[in-house]
Amino acid sequence: MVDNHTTMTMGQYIWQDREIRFDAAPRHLENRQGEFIIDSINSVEDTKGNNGERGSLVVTNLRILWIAHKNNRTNLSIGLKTVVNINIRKAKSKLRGPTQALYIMTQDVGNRFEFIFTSLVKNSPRLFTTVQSVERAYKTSSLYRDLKLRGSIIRDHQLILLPLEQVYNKIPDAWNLSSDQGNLGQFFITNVRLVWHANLAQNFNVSVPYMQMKHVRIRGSKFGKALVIETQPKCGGYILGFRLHPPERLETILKEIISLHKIFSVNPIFGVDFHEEESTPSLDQLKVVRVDDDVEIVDGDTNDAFAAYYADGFNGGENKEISFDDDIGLACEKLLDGWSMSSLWNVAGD
Amino acid sequence: MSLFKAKDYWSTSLSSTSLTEYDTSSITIAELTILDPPQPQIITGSLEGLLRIHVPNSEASAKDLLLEEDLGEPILSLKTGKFIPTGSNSAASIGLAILHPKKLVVYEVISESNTLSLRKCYEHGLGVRGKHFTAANMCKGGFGRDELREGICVQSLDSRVQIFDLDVESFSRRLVGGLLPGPIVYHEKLDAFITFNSLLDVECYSFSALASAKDTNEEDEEEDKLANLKSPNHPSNTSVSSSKKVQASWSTNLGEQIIDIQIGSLEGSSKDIVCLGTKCIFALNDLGSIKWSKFLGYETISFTLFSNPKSNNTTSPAQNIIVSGADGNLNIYRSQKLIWKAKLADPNSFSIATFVSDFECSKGMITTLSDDCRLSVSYLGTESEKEGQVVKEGKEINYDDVDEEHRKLLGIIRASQSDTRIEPREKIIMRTQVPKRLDEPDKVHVLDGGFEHLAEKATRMPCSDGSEGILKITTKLFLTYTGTGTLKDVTVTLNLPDAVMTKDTCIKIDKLKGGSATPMIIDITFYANASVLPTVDTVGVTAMFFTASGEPRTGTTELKLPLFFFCRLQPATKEPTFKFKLDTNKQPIMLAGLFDDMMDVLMDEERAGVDASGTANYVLTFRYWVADPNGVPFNATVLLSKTSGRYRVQSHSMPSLWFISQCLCSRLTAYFENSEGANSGLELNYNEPHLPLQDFYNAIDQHFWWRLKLAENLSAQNDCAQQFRTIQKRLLLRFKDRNAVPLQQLDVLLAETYHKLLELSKEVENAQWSLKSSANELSCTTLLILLFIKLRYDMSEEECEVLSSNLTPNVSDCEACGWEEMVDSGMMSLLRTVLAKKNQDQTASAQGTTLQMPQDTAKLKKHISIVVDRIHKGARLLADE
Repeated sequence: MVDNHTTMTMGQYIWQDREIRFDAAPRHLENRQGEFIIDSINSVEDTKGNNGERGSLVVTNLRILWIAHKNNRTNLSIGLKTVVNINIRKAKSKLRGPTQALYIMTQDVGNRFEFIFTSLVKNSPRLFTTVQSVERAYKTSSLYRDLKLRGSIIRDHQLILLPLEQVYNKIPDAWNLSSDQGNLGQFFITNVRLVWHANLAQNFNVSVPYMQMKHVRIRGSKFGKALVIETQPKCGGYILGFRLHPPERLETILKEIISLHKIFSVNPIFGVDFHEEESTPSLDQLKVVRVDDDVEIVDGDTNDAFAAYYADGFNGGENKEISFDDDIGLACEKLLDGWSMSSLWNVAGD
Repeated sequence: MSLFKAKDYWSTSLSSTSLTEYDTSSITIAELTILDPPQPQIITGSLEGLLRIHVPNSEASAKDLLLEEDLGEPILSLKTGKFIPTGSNSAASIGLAILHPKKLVVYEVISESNTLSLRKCYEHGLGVRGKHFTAANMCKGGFGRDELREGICVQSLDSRVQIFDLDVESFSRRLVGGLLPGPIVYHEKLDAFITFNSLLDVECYSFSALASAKDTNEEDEEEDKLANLKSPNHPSNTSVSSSKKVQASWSTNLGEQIIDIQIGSLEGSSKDIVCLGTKCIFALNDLGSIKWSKFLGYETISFTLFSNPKSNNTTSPAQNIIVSGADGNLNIYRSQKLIWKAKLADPNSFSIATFVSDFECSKGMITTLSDDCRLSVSYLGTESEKEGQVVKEGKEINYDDVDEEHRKLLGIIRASQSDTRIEPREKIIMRTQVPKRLDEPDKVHVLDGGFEHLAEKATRMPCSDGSEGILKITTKLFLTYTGTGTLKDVTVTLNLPDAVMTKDTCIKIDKLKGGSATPMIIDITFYANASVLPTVDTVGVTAMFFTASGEPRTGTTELKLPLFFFCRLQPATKEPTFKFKLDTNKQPIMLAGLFDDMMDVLMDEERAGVDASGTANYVLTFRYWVADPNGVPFNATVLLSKTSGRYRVQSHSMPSLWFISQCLCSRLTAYFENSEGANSGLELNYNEPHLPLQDFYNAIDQHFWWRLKLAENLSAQNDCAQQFRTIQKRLLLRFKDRNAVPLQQLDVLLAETYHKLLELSKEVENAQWSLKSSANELSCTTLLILLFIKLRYDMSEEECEVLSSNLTPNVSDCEACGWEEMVDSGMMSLLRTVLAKKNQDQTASAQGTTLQMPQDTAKLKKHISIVVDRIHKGARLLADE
């Protein structure tokens, strides 16, 4: 199906901001392309899983890393996308006693994890302020990283640009092949994403960042040759087909998209922008190069380093069937035979 | 704290910028458009103006968002209902009313090619005749019991309501008790608005009454008042406003701030007005009387009523209540009874708006909008929360560290359990260093200034310049403290034998550093007493300190003074008055080698005198610093048989034999131990037919004689003193008498008695000195006899100890108890116990009589003889085990 003379590119999946990794191999702690360290705070205790141990908390534009001072194999990599919320509450630390701590509630596939970090430097709000503002900045810049359908991104047939975004090309007469008859619209090609919207309904649109594209190629369809963009399976695995009106333009547009994809899927703009309010020495001066040992011990046993962090208890990664309870009038987890919500409540309530 | 949790079926974050905020009325759930399969949609509008429509799916994806539109103005409230005029060319039956601060807009939602879009139906600017009006909230309903369409009532921030009937503005009225807007709701059955005012009253305004009332317009009133002021005679025109005033049908004071009001049927039949307070929940009937109220005990945020399908009344099903608390719990009530409680899946947030609706996955799903802008659809979890589930197996355990800690803990446990105390590690270790030579003698005057008594007794020795000096030796004492920190106030005490003197027997050290610091060095200078024969050559050194916890602790060591400090070599003399032979089973050791330290200190010319033609190997004469009362110095000579290992020690006095004999014995033992090891098999034998007991008795007699003499002298002195005092008394009497009789030579008698008293005192002093000297000699003799007994009967160290403790060489004479009675008592106790004859009771103890100075020494001598005799016959001093 793939035409011989057309090129095809493969995008790599970026896990750094989307996953939580426990005791990852040291090479996984290195910054990927486009990732940069925003702040690095020493003497932070992982109060939940490694109470009593000092480590450094590194905040990048994609994740929060905690690495034990003693052994960099004891570490945490918390993707910012998994973060549900961040709180400052009281916690009990072995190294400092009762103190203010940073609570990070996260949700990975099916499981919730809670992390508690305590700064061992007295009266240092840096831990709280940096993490909170970076998380905020990440949460409010999801258009740089996530596929968006039917978003409010077009106003008066013009793309609402993101702060770091530049439009490279605008292509009218692009047909979307999602429905039988097709929809006429236009493309915006920028340094962050590819946007298509229907001419008739600006709410009918799609915004695909390059980092979410898996394949870009030309494929045959019932409308003839079409530009096909396949997205990463983790963000839905959508296949988007477009037909460009003068078919000769297809090749040039494809080339343009492919070259931009090559650049920006490898070295993406993640959209987390920051500036420090106090003038501190430049990052290069502060950066401590992590020395990684090149030995990786493959652990045969299941790694349950994360067990300590479960917020709800381990539920096997699967949710139980949902059933409707007549008595209470609400949906609930399916009960074992012989139990009703009221009997369960009366047992628990007494 | 609830046992159960609400589980998320679907959730998404609604925050798009850092300013995103939602209010309790920013969300509604309705079926705006027909989807495939049909599902209700969640409509949210943020205060920044972003309208979104979501449909939950089992897996969150980009497809869940159906519409996102920036309306450009804050969205205060959202309502869906029959707002679209019939006859208009719209396909949708349900309109979406959006309340902005200054306007109310009704949209219809159009679905075209999988995409939703908004179309504005109509818009109302708020405020009457351009007057100020800022919206606070709104409610909807079929006002006037209209079943086909629904009207909207908007309440302003100052409690004015404006009512719209579709695209037509109906009227605007000011509510009476209003100062701040409370929640407002339309009660269908009463056709009235239920609201809450600043007086904490729930009020009911009938729609028809509102519609017919004349609005009290302040500005009109003010105009009227102005007109009245201008023409006071003119009757005030108040007829209109008084006739139809806005008035509440009823009002009920609840005494608590009300957050939300909803109309529902909690017990089936009738409609209730349910009001949620900040801490309580109230149920009111149609007439405004309170049916019940319930104190909830937590801070409430929002609530909702939902149908309970199991209720028996099918026509109007009873409803349950979900109250969301600030603690993040969802509390579900059936009427007043709590039937379930679930914590939100995200424990750090609470729900600001709660809905129950039927989605594709199940009926009765709970939709919550949390304070941190998270929209979730959840259901009730039935598994209790597992607390404290911490699995640490994945952690690497450092077993060495664990072992170490375990050992340490065991040590602490053992230490606190055992009764015996463990010696603290902190102690003072002392070491001594003795020079190989005597110091250069000090000038006598060096000891002036408090130490003249030393100079008087100390041994003299010529200085290098020929003048008279004082013999001395300076030894070094090293002190090390093994603990950490610094010790304060360490006291070093010296326990000196009689023959040794020093300036100060007690040395105070202010600070002693611990740890690995260099040891503290103290120089101690010793002087030899020129009037006392040496008995032992060791000085006891004791250091005392207090630990940090205040316990006194000591460290001890012994300082062995060299032989050349007590005597020196002399050209050989022959004074065989007292002598004894000492046999060894080894080859003879040259004396010059055995006493090489003594040879080393000699000057060359002295050496030549001592070692004339190599005789020093076979004969050595030692001269003590001490001389007898006749001025003859005490000597002791050691002779070695040229053929066998036989030594002879001789002297003109018996006491002077002891120190050299003791030196000889210990040096021989040490020599063979060094050369042949500990089990050298050296045997020393006292090779004389008899023990010199007679000489010992003589020494005893002499000592005893001096004791008697001293007692006699003391008695004479006492008599004389008595006499002296009597004469004094008589003289004083005469001195006081006015008509005194002649002195009759009493003054001469006084002077004579005084002289005699002085003489007697001198004699007492002499006797004391002689007693001391004879005690010293007796001490030496006793030691010698003990040595002889030991050598002759081959006694073990333990036996020697027993004997020497009874026949003590420690001759100390005091008024209470003298040496003779002490030794006699010791001898008696030996004879009655270990040395008793077989048929006698060996356990009989010494008589508990007080010790008294005996008349003579015959008994003592006899007892000593019997003891020696029994030992001679083979009796042993240690009881059989």
